[in-house]
Amino acid sequence: MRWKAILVVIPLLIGLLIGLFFFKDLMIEWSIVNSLQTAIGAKVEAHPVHFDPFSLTITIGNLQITNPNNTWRNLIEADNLKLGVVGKPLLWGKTVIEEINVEDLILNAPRKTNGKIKIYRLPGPLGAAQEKINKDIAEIPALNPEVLKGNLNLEPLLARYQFKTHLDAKVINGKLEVSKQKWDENLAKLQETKAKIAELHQKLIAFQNQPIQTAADIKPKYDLLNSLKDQTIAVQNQINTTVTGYQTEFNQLKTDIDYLKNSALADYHALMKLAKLPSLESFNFAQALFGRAILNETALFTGLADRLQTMVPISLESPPKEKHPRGGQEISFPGQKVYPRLLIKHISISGRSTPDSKYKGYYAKGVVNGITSEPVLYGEPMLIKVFGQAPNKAYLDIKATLDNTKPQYRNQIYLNVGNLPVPEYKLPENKFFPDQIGSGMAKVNTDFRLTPGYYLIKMKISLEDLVCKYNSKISVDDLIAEIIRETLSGINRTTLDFQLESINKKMKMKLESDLNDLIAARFNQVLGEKLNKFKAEIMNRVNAELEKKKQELEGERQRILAEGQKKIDEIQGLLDQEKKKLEELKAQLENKKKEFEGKVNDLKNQKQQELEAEKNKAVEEKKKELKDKLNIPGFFNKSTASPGN
Amino acid sequence: MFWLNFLGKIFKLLHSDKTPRHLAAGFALGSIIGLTPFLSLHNLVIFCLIFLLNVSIPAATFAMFVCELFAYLFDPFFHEVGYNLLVKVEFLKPFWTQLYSMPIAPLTKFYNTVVLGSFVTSLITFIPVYFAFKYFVIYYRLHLAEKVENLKIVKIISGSNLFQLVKKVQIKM
Repeated sequence: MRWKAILVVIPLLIGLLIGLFFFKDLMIEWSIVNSLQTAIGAKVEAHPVHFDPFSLTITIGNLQITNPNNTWRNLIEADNLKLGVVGKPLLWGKTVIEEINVEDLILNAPRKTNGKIKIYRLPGPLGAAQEKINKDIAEIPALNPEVLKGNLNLEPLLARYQFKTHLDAKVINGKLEVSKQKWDENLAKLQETKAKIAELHQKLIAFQNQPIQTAADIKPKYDLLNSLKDQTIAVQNQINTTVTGYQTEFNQLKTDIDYLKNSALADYHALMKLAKLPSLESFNFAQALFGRAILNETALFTGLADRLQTMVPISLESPPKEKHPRGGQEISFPGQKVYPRLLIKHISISGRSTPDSKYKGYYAKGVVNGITSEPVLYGEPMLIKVFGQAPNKAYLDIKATLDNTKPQYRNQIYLNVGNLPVPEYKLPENKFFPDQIGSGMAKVNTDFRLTPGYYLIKMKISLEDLVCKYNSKISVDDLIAEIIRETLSGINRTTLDFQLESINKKMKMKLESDLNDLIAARFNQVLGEKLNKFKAEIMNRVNAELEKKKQELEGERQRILAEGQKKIDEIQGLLDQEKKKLEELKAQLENKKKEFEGKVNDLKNQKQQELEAEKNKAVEEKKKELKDKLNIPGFFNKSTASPGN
Repeated sequence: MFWLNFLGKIFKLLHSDKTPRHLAAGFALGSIIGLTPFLSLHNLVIFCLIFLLNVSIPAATFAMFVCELFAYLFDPFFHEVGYNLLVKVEFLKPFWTQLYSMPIAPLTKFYNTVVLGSFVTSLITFIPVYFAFKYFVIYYRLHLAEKVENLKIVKIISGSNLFQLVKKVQIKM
């Protein structure tokens, strides 16, 4: 043992404690700023921070949390925050704040400096959705009047266009050729049945030529006739199979020919694209223009959703293993009187602003209950009810229930913002948006729901009394940009209905607005008749090509079909003759059979009569014989019976 | 400069008059601090042990430095060990729950998978590390020390003005 080392260790520990005492405020400030910045993604300032270790109170002189979507404004700005930390749980390494009192609070206050911090593209599905939106703006079609003038001439356009209808017709023609070859072979095989029919014919002739001498000849003749009939049926079946296959194949080719109209439709769209005339009816301009900005507005919710869905413990008893989290995974062991690692029981915003302070005119009132790192351990949902108003009457109303205490957690947030001056909102910079919005008010209603594996954000933005001003000229004569500018300059109110849905990390976004119709209508107004005429011209030309090719192909199909049918009919005719002959012979055989049967019957009758006569004769003879015997003298003396008895 | 200083320290350490037992014990204790997350409450205890027990402080510093360099590579392994001990081993659950409900104990962050996994691993490896380092020092001093001293590079380093300067400064400190 180095006992002397105690003399070194103890002063070191004392030094450490003294250091902690003097730097505690800085350390707490650093920890508050960093944790909030990580959560929000924008600059957070908290200064001065003072921790009184004896009363366990943290006082924050001024707290500013930048709005991540508009870094020149603060989401929240508050003065003189007092946090009452509960002492006992600190021994368990838990931070429990009984109450935070906020008296002066401003929502959406302007900042003196830009509160932007470097953040990377959002990960996961939201990042992917952002990428898509970025592409959408680039996909807004551009239309130059000079180019348009050139493109409205159809012939040069057609000269450099290869019709899909032609290509597909060629394919069908090839199929017709292949089918024809195949069926030529099949029909050639069917020709072989001709030999079978001829053989049948010979047999029938032979059958006819063999006279029926006796009744005994009838049965073999019948057997032979049945055998010939079987052969006929076999040949008929072969013909039927060939006909069915033939017709099915050629009917399919007819369907292919009918489907050429799809190729024609594709030709129409391709020619429209080549002419750089976009189909405005199907293009979502509102999404392209505002999608990115609105999606960014939802970052607060999507971030919260992503975080909750990865962090919320489904089960404290045996939580699923995280995929090697940096810094490890923290497991909770619920027991009696176990505190969550962080718990802020109650925040109250009194609504009493300090008189003559910089917060004059601002008003905020509300409560937040149950902010915790382990909701399951705390067992009560987090409730938020805050209303705030700025001197310009812009207001924010939040009502939220975040219940993550059960595995089937449910979170619902209603956020309404009203009387928000639109000129204060910075639109993304691009040639379509106005350089300045003179006046206007916005109202935003947001409904956010989150359950395991699912969330839905519905946002309705209503803009009123808009005055959009464009100072800069468009460098290129872009008709679409001009039309969008005209439309945006012309409107004074519009609504945007935005919906973002995530099911098992798959995101679906929908943005609907009356702007799309307005832009499309204005487009038709500007180019109107000329464009419609050109569209009709393209459509007529495409239809003409379609009809031409359809006729060619259908003609060829009919020709091949007729040719084949002729061959089949010829063979069928031959077979029908033999069938007829067979039926005649069968009838003859039937007659012959009947004739023999008649003869047999006559013979039978004759024999029966002869037998009857012989029988009668014998009876008569017997009677006579008996009579003679009865005439013997004395015979009747023994009996009184008459001879008839 | 740093690496020169570092190499000099190792050389000095291996050629010092400290017994292999002292060096190995220091190294083994230092390896616990090196393998586990630095800012943990249990490390304060290990630090005190290093200062109080008659073990080589330079050896402990060397072990801390070396293990800290490579510890993060084993984080997935520590996470696995810690998770299994905290969640999967049923008979330990009442113990963890008891510990979690006790004051001070949660400050050690034992409920963190990497903290617990690395701490348990370093405790298991403590004895093998102690003996391995002890036998390495003995073997080095018997078979390698002379050869290393005669190496040109060692002569250059130890003969360099810079090294002498470092040595002087260290002696004065």
